[in-house]
Formats: sequence, structure tokens, C-alpha cells
Amino acid sequence: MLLEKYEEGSFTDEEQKAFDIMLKKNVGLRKEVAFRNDLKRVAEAEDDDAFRNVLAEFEADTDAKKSLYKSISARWLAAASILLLLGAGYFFVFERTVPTQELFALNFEPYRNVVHPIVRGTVTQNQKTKAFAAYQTQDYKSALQLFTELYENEEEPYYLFYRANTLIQLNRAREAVPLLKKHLKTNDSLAEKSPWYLAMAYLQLNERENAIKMLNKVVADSKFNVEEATQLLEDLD
Amino acid sequence: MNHEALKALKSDDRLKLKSLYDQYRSEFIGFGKKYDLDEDSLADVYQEAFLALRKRAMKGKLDNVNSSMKTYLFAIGKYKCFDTLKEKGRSVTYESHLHMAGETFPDIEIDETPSLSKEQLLLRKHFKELGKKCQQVLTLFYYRGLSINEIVEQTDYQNENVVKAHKSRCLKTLRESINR
Repeated sequence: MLLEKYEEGSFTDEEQKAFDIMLKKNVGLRKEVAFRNDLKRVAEAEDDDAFRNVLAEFEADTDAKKSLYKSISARWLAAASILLLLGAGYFFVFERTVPTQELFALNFEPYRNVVHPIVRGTVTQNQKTKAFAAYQTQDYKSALQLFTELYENEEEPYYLFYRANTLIQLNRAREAVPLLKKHLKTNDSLAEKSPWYLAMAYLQLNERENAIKMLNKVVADSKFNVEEATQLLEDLD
Repeated sequence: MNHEALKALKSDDRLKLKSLYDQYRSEFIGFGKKYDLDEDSLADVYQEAFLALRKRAMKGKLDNVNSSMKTYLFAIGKYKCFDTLKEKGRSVTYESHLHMAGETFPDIEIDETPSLSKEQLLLRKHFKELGKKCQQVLTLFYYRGLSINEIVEQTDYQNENVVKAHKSRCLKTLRESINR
């Protein structure tokens, strides 16, 4: 208990003093603290190694793409150079822009469950609980099926919203767009968040103009993720 | 620093991490070429710089930094370029490239992570033998500095008590395996 408090850093000044004194006198406590400090260092080393492997995979992926470009470029060099001359202006603009899907990956996160809080250990497993529990534990495939059935039976507008979030997460933004548009027209309290998620869907679909239109709406509405939308508009510019 | 990007950097979300990694890679390679390093060396430098950036994020050192993630990453990368040049036994003029066009780099101290002591190496051996779930909870708590509550939010543990119980069981197993 004492060590837990020490680790949380939640000691008062007096408790800290008492702990320091105890640390000097008590060999066992000193050993335990040293053990946990060593563990910190070991966990760091392990985590770093794992992350180095991830980075090596990213790099291998980049190399693979590069060699693909190289093999293509020899064959298409002549044709490409003509195209480049013709479309130099467009090409320049195109090169400078950040791909919309990268912006999507950096900005999208499914909206949290605010409709139906899941109390752990609850025995009642009705369909609504099952749906939101699946959503919360990132079992999006099950969540999608449950939200779809629930909306068909109950027609609660928030199911449209969560179904759309689930579809975007599953890389199926094309199907999410009509749901969000429909949700936007309802009186649901979550409807003010729909423009942001519509923008996310358009980013995933690489529909730049539509994304910009929706982000402008987010800024104009001034209700949800305004700062993020402003930043994204700058990135898309 | 952009809050969402920082969150992505600290996460285990490969899609977001890859996107961040790719976002600055080619520009960094271009920037590093003025140090007369070949592309392979620069790719290595970039990986090391990206790792160092993430470690700083984990330790909360980037929370109150005003410069952009890119500027900060490049500043770390610049130091790593100098280190690589030194390793290759080439002389370096430090003053010549302190600024990138229009941007001033923040002052960054590169704190090298010390190598593991004998006790830590032994501990590491036993740590690797723990189950994945134990390794995860101990890493999240001890290295990444997540609170018990944050661990509940980011993993599939049911509540704080379960995390606490599991963490102390893992510590016990680890202690016992060393003393065995």
C-alpha cells in the first residue's frame, strides 16, 4: 500500500519524509524500491527493442515501395517526362499536399460511448448492452451487426451515429456517409458531432473537396472539434 | 505540439505510427544529405531519431514543448547525424547548419540511455519469461508511466482492482523467479 502510494507519487511532504527515513532503516524496503527501479529500466529496454522492430518493418515497407518505383520509372520515363511538362503546374501542387488518408489516420478515433455506459460485471445482457460493450472493447464487427439490428428495430438515431463510426473504423467509410447524412437531419444530441465524422469519412475516401466542405461546417457550427478542424483545414490547404 | 500527433506517437496504433513515420521521412533524408551522409545511414539516423522522439513523449517531456513535432524531430536527427559523422571519424563543423530555412531548432540535450547493469540484465532475462499480459501491464505502468486508471481505459482489464491485483501478481512471479 505504501509502495503503491510512493509509485503514484501521491505522498504529502510529511509522508515523503517518513518514507525517506524508513528507506534508510529498512533494508527490505530499499531492495524492493531498487527492484522496481531496475524493472523500469528493463521495461524501457524491452519496449525500445520492440519499437525498433516496428520501425524496421516500416523502413522495409518504404524500401519495397522505392524499388517498385524504380522498376516502373525506367519504363515510363519517356512518357512521364512528357506528362510532367504538360502538367507541371498541377504536379507541383499535387506533390506538396499531404495525402488525405494520412490525415484521416492521424485524426480519426471512434466517438466514445456516451449513450449506454457499460457497468462491468453487469448481468443483464440485453442487445443494447452487448452492442456498446462490443464497441467499447473494439470488437467492431460484432458491434456493427448489433447496431444495424438495433436501428432496424428501434430507430433510435444514435444507432446511426455509432454504426457510422464503426463502419469508418472498419475502413468502410463509403457506407458510413449516408448514415451520417441521415443522422445530421435528426434532433439527436449527437448530431452536432456528425459533420466532423462525415469529414473523417471523406478523408478516408480521399474526397478532399467534400472533406473541406464538412470541416468548414464544423468550424462554422463551432460546437465540436473546432480546433482540430481548423488545423486540418490548414493541413489540407 | 499537436496533441493528436503526440497521442498517436505514444500509442501502439501501427497505422497512425506509420503515417507519422512516413510524414517526415523523405524530408528528413533530404535535410540530412547536407551532412554528406548516404541514404542508408540517414534512414538509420531517422529511425533512431524517431525512437528518441517517442521516448521523450513517453516520459512526458514533449507535453509543454512549443515547437512542432517536425522541428523537434529534426533537431534530434541533426544531433544524431553529428554522432554518426563522429563514429565514421569525420570532422564536423557544428555551427554551420544549426538552422533549417526559417526555423530555429530548440535546444535539445541528448541523454543517452545507460546500458543495463548486471542485475538489470538478469532481471531482463526473467522479464522475457513472463506471460505477454504481465509484460504489458508492467511496461505500461513502469515505463510508459500510465496510471492504473489509464491502463483500464487503454486495455481490456475490467477495472482498477483487477489491474492492481494482476500487477502485484506479476511482480511476485518476477521476484520469485529471480530468487529461485
